[in-house]
Amino acid sequence: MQLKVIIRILGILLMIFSIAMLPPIAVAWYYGDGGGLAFFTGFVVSLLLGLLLFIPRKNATGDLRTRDGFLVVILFWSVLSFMGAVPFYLSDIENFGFADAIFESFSGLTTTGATVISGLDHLPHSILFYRQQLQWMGGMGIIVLAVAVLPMLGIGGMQLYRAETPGPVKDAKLTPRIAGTAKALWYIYFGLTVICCLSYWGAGMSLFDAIGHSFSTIAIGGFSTHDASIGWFESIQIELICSFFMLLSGVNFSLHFVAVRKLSLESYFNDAEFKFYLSILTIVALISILVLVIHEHFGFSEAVVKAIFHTISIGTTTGFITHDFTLWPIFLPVLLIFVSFVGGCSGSTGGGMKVIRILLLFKQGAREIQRLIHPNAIFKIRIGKTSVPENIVESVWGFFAIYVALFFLFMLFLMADGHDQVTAFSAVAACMNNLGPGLGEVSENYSSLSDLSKWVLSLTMLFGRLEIFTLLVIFTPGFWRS
Amino acid sequence: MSGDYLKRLNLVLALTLLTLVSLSALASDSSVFVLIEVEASDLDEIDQDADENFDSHFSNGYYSFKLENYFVGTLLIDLRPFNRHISYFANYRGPPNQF
Repeated sequence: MQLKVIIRILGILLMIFSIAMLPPIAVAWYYGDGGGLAFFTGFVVSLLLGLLLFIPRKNATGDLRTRDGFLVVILFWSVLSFMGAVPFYLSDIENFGFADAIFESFSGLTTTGATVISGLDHLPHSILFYRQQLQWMGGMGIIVLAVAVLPMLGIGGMQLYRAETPGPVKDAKLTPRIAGTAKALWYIYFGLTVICCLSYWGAGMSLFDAIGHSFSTIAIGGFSTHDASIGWFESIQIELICSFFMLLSGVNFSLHFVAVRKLSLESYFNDAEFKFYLSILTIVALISILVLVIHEHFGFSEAVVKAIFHTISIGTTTGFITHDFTLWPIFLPVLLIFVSFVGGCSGSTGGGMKVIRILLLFKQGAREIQRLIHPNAIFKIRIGKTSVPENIVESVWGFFAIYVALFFLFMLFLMADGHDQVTAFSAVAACMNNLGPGLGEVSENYSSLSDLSKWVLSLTMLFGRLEIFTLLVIFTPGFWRS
Repeated sequence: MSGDYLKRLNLVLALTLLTLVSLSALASDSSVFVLIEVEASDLDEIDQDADENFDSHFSNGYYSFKLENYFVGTLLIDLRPFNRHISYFANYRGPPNQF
């Protein structure tokens, strides 16, 4: 393994990450909220650590291969999440311990959106801005991870496209392709953020809120600058804008790229995953409208807007709310939490198991039924016009099995730590699917959980974001053998 | 800077050092010597007005900073062979004389 090169890359990433502490310093100075010192310290510590990792290995060179890729990805998320926690820990947030800071930072960078902070409306602007910015940066990392890195490691729904991708992707060298892909996709990501921000601003948000919420909307994060989330604005226009951009961000960014390059929407409607994604959200939204109208929770038009907003928000694993959906008939919150297991499309900033995997599982189930009727026939699973290799179907089943097993393991752990089953179920689901809001004790925030549970849930978020296998693989002895 | 801020900063520095050492050890290209003694009881005995206990100096290529009564007593970082390797030494009981 190219460990020196990996540590050198990590050093560079840390130095780049340290720059993220500078905008909150400017915000602290502008608003005079006294939060600058924590960010300045965070900046110095991150920069120094980055330098101390980089300089001794500045001449280390070598091509990164698949196994190195796993380690880079894991170190990227874990070390940066640790450094991202520094400003939280050094800030004057009331009753905020180290476990809280780590939880908040992991939640930000993995774009989960679960928070341990209550009283957001009274927090310094610099902290609020930093939380939103963490999610936006996490989203940038996720795009590269999902579209460029994980497919080459053979992980993630995008691996389906791997066989179709020409050029250097097919060999084990990672870097040349990533740089080009990342650059193109970041333009899309940045462009969407700017348009979303302007739309929010035009709809009546303050510029500060518009920037902050556009960050967490496009990143499918769900952090807000207000305790009441998007509901604070009490604006149907903002809810609709938010719904539209959440929906867009849950789509594979490669499709956006093709659509922009060809100036055509054809790429979306030729994509089986996108069609399945839209179908799921439409069906769940219709069920939600029906239940809300039958139970007379809202008038018809309000029920339509609330149902669509929460279906997209929870379904794409964003986690914004406009109303306390835990007060709805219990069927709906549970349905929405289950939909979050499906999550966004592969190659998006969304969490969950990814739509493409669920589509494959669905088709595999249908094939087994066909096999019972025609035992000697050979059925191929197709996604669009592509025939899916059997090894990919097997890996998706493996992923599903481990996802479910880990989910129950973490859930049992939380129950053993003294939490009721609704809290344990929803907290683990919300963190593993990178969703955010849960039910029971964690319907508002996660501050009431013990430090131990917060550590476990931070790990759960990382497992979810790195699509399980990426993290599990380093615990196998074979990984470390030369 | 309040005592509480310094206490938190000290934990951050100690964990940062630990991260640095672990990652350097992983890369196996540094001579790494670490001795960090953690006495949990010290965290409860923080003097809130302990700012005056903070002391640092740079001499003979060593940067040494001391946070008395805190999590890590004295931390000495050897910066001399910086371009080739980094050595770290942390000792709770005062400046070490091994160098």
